[in-house]
Amino acid sequence: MESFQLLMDGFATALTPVNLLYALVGVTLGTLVGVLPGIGPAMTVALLLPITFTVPPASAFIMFAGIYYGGMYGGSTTSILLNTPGESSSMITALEGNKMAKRGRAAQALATAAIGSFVAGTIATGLLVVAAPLVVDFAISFGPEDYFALAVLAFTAVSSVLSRSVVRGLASLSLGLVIGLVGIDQQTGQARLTLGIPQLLDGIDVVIVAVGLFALGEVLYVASRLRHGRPEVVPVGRAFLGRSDWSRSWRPWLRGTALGFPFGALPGGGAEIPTFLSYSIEKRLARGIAREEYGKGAIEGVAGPEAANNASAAGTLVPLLTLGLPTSATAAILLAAFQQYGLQPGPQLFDHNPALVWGMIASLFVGNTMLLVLNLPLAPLWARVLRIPRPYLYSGIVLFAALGVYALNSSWVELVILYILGLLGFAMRRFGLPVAPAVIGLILGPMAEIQLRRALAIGAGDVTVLVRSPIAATLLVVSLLALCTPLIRKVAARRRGA
Amino acid sequence: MPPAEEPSGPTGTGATGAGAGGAGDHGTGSEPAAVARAGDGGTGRTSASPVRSGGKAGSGSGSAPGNDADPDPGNDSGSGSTPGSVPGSESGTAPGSGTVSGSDPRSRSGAVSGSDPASGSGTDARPGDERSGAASGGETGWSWRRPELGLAVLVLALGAFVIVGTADVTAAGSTLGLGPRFFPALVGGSMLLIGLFYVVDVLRGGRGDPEDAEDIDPGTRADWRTVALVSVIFLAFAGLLDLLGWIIAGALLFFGLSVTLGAAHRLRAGVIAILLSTITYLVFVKGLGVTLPAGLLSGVI
Repeated sequence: MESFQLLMDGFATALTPVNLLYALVGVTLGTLVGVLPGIGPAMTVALLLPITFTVPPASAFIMFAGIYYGGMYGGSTTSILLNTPGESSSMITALEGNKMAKRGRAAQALATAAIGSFVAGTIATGLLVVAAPLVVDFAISFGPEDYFALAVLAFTAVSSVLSRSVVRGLASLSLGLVIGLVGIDQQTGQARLTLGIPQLLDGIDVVIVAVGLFALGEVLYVASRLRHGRPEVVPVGRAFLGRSDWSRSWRPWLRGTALGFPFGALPGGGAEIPTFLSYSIEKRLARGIAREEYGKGAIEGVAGPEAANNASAAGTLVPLLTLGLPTSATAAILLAAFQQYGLQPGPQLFDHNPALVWGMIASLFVGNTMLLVLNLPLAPLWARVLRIPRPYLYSGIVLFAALGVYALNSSWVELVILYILGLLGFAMRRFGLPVAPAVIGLILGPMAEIQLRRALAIGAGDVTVLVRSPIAATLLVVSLLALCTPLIRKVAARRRGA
Repeated sequence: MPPAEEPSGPTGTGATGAGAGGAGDHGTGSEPAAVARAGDGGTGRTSASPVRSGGKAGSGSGSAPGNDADPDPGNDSGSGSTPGSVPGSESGTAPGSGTVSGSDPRSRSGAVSGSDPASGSGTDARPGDERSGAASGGETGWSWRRPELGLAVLVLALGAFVIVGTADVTAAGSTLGLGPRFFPALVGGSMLLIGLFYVVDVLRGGRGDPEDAEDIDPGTRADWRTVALVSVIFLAFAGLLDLLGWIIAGALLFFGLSVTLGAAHRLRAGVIAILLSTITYLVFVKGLGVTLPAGLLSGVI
């Protein structure tokens, strides 16, 4: 029960008035930005990253925890009230949620999403508390070759699972890796790929890449084919659940949680698969009125996937905090946030900085509760946010993107780099290259390089050192499988089609 | 249940699409492929195919590859939409045929006229089709796929660039090849390989699905004028920021962008712009200690 004690210490950190305030600011900003159309959780965190520059680490991470969960909540509100979400994980929520809203049950849809997210988030954070120390104990013996293999697994999994075309996933990954290469080599001090531009010597800051690919890329993409006319937002009052809605919701919440957490914790698991699984399981289990309503706005189809979505968000934190391994774009940006403070998540972080880690975990519970309190009554306000005229919304996004990037180094050159990355993000959106692999490649690439060189240095040039440890060998085999599975499926599909 | 199809579907169709694309160059083999495609393509596709066969009757071969050129109905055919334009556009698309006649690769409507090498007649037939549908701007597999080739080539070129660009980095005292050039070479090499696969995939008719977003209207054609204006405004902002200062440059940025993106009331846009840039300046500079340039207003604020 050592972790219980640590968690209590974490609560002591999280519940100080100042940190409670940071948590509140975090969840509010997170929800607000997450609600904005066109902004998913990853972009929310990226855009809000600069705000925390002047905040001490422990408080900053408490705020980030709030932003992370808040962004998740915000996304589901958008998909229920507006439909056609950009974030693939809330796509499923929109299926039933938007139909519920159109039938006049927006309040119930939002409530089951909010309460379901709370239930799932709380249980999954509890599981995180239990799982994290176990993984840390296991990972403490990891050598550089194991970390390298882990990075390779994250690369291949995110490229092949998160995208529909492996080659496009890998192309995106490689773009991220190249961006990560720019700058001075950490081990030898040699400049690489800087094109003689002094601003590139320190590498391209993660904030610039994330804001460029997500925010500016999105704005350019939207500019290219903006939907004119007023957005159709379903009006909504205070979110609430009736008795029958409760009895229809609680089982899907629990099932969704059970699905979401393990998938979130796996590299490449992400939120898409568990939300979809939850959707189809609820569909199969639907009886009576639920069965009739399915496809026309059944509450089970909102409750389950929303719970799965949030549980996977908590699950993602397990590999992130214990191994420093991001498994989603949002997690990758959170990892970058740690690195901004010179902190490297991993087993050592739990040793050296228990107050910070456990404070953050405790604040996840706190933030979750705040979100529930905030979201039920504030639903009408979020609905109003959705009505912001799009020209102002996207101009504002660009203004804040520019602000965040300029604040880094006060350099206009970086604004130009931001623009170029924005173009890249635009092209990636237009041609269906997933952005997540690029972000993960960018952030994990340098780590993979260091671990690879370390491992090979230990092996004195012997390449077999990379597979000598059973863990590394297993991970590499799994990554190979991750790459090949879609190929096999493709061949099978072709054979069936022929 | 669309989501069921989404994860597996496109990959599957992509594969078949590619296969069919190969066959598509020869008239005969392609027709069944087209049928199969229409089958898994679903709604958007089926609406398109009858039109296509009508419009392209002259060259049966042309239509089949055209068909698999846009394996995903959701995004593309939706935008192709206007029936008049579809036949001209869709029919011409034998993947792998490089010929785009008179197409402006930047504008999706302009790129309609991808020609079909398998059937010379296709090229003749198309301009006619195109003229009929040109006004509405036909969205085609071609116009999406052609520019995608650019992205694929970029990946390939970056791979080469990484290798060449790090070739002159001196590996100080490293004999094992583990110096600063090792990892870039690994990345560059893999990137060349990936880029090659990507190019081949695009050439064989595979294509990515344009991302969905809340404010994206897949039914319109790309508005390049707006994109260019947004770019110019942003780059001008980047260049003038230090001179003008955050408040003025930021306000101009916001105002310019919102008008470009279609803000209805200019006066209101202007007021919001000034308020927003001033408030952000005050909050971030005075409140959060972030450095932003004061520029022309340096004495005033």
